[in-house]
Amino acid sequence: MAYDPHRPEGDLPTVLNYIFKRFGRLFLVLFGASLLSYFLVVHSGDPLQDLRESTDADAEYQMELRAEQLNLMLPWTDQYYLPWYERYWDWLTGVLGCLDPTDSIIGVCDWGTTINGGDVTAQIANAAAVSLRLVLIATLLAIVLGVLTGIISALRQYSVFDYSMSFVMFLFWSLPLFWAAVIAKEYLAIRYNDWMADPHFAPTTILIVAVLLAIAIPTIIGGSSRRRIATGAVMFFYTCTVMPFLDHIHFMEQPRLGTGFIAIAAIVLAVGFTAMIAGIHNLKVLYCGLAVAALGVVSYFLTWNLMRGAESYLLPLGLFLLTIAICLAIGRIFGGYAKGQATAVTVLTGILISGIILLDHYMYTWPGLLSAKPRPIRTVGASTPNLRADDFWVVSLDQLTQLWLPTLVIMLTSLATYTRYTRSSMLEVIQQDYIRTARAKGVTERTVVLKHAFRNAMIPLATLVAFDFAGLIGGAIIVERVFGWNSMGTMFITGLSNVDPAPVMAVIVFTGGIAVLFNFIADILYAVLDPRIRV
Amino acid sequence: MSNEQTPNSDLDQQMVDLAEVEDAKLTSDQKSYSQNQLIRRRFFSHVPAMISLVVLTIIAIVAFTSVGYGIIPGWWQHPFRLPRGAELVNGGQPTMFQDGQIFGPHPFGQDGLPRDIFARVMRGTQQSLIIGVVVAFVSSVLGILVGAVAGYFRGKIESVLMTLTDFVIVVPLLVIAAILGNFVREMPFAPFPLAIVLGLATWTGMARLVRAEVLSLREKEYVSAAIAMGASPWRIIIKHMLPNSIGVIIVNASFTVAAVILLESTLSYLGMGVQAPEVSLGMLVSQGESAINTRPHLFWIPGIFILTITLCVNFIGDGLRDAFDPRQQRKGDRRPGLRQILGLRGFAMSQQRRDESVRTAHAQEQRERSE
Repeated sequence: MAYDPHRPEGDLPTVLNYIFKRFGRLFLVLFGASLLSYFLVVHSGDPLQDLRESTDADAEYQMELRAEQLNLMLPWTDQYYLPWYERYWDWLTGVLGCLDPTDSIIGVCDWGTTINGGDVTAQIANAAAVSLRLVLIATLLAIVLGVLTGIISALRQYSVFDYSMSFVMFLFWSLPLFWAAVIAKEYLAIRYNDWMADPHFAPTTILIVAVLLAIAIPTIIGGSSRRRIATGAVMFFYTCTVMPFLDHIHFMEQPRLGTGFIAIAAIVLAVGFTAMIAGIHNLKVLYCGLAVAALGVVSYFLTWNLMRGAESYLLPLGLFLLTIAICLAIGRIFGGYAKGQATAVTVLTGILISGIILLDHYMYTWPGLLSAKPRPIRTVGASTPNLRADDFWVVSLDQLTQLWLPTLVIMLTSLATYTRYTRSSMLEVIQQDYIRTARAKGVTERTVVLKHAFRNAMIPLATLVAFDFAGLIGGAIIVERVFGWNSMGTMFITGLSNVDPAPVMAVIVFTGGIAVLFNFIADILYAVLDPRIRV
Repeated sequence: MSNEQTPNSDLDQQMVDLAEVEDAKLTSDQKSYSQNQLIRRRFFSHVPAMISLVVLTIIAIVAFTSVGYGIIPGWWQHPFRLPRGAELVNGGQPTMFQDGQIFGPHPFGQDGLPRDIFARVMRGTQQSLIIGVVVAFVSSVLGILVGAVAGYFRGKIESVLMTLTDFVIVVPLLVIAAILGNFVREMPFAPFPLAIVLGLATWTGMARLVRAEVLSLREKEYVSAAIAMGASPWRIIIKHMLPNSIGVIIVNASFTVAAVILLESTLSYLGMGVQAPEVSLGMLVSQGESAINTRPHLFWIPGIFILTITLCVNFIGDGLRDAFDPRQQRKGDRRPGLRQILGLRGFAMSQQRRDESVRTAHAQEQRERSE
């Protein structure tokens, strides 16, 4: 995966030259792919098939109407009127017009019309936004979860965790996406909605969850057998007390995190990141982290009313960016000699605390959503039409509930790629000479793993993400179809069965564009990250 | 000078000792293996791959013998198409393990018409396996051809071929497969036309891999020697390069089989792959989807078959990769036993024990030799 056949052989004078060359290639490839697929789509069937067999009196008129819409405008014969390359040229000039903001040099931005006269330009913009959101979130989650699982697997090679994760990842890898999506729809949406009518944990459910956690958590944490048994027992009793308690306070209907939880979580995050990145004895870093944690809790109260009044994503996003800026400043200014580590700790802590605060806001909105929509997860559509609420939070939470199952299904299939890649890459790197040198110098195990091994193991991930992202867009077509989203999946499938090139080509250009763009970014990133690559 | 003499003679002595130990190892280990034998041994000791191979073989044999293939009849009494005068038994529910019978007349139940699901699933499995193998073959041949030519001749040919490869890679696989599948939906001899066009969509990965392999093999001495002796490019490619990249080819082909089985079932689920009256596992899933509450077996059984087949093929591919590329495999000597896996015995302890046993064995050997 890491290698690229078209990397120039000789030394080009500048990086810029390289980038331009890659960019030119990007367009060439997109053009070739669109030409190839236009040819294939146009010849994959007869768009007038149903009308030819029709016994309607005005069948001929309908045919002419459709021929006009499909850009087949020439006097009537039994054949296609315009040759396909002329149709392709018309289509191409329309699409190229989108690169021209003035609409005067090349022409107006036009993606053509569907067989029924629908405007593809409007459709694809909408569909692309929906699909992109789905795939981006799924990829991000898959990277985070997959890399974490991969690292733990590599560090505990040949442990129960490693073996069971290997098997589970193989299972996810072999999972038919459509099948998984239908299962998710049936059991995580419909059955969950049924359960939400009267949400209570049955004693058997609590027991099963407790036993599962008591087995799972010790295998992740590891350690001696005594420690494992102790963690398992603690986990078991913890679950057995917490779940009835949550049930008692009606957590499923009115979930809240509470100030106490947020404060404790903030401190734990700060201390945890410090221990992981710099070591707990590095007080400078620890104080920076704790300062961010304290600020986070304070800002939770200060911004509460401001956040509740949000009308769009701009306000939360702005506050998030502000948080990052403040975290960066704290790390840089108070980090002293450990500036880099302090900044990493503060930024990571800041991001996660922001996430927790956002989660609390959504939890606060949950009863509102339930009153507007008693069955919280609809199985059709990317959002609920006629939602009886105009609050930003309710609308946004509604989109999230619609989004989470498709995201879950797509994420599972790409999780395997990242986990397996990270595991094998870490194991490979760990055996390198420079790791042995680092250990011999007396560098702590934490630094060896995080700084020497992890960083080098992750460089080719850039390429992997590019490939995986392109694959996921194909997966999104299926998942959107199963969950009844009116987006790219529908456009592609109905368009193809009608032999209607405009919507199909729109989907192809969009997905292909994403693929080449990500490949391009990956190439540049790779050249920047890996000093051995000469551009 | 004398200062340097001592460590040198020490080193010599050490080298001699080391050589003796190596000799002892060689003589104690009677057998030596060829490269192919090593690969075979590594593959056969890969437990998941072996289990998968057995499961897959059983599935394939049952699938092909039960409903028969072509004019060859099978031993199963129900056909996969609707027979005349079929009756609904047990309300269409599976008769497996019901009323004291192991299989019963319809072990996987019946659908609404009523057709026997066991026969249909077996027929679908046949289709999946055929498509997987044919596509892997077609795409491998095409990919090897393109990759080898591009890698060997380089220059203009390479840039044209690789640009062509990129044209195909850019379009998502599902999209290009659906378009090509649309072409052949009415052709006879299903599922072979579909398999061939799917092969035309999936060769790009193999082409890239083979090209990379050929590029590195080009620099080897034996290739220079062959060129010097006047061997033709085709002879060099076929006799020298392909046998040396067979590992990459086989491993990639086996993963292609799994990917293609998934792809075909997805296409058939969307109604663009195998067409009725032929049967495919993906089509069975889409037919059973609406009845997931009333007759869940219609949905679950074909899905589980797809999952099992792809899982088995992927495990076999993994085993092949470990066998061909032992660098990736860090098993064997360092692989712990069951008790260590369960955390009942520490890693360090077992390491120490094994080291001790090795040391005592060596000491014993030395003693025997000195006597």
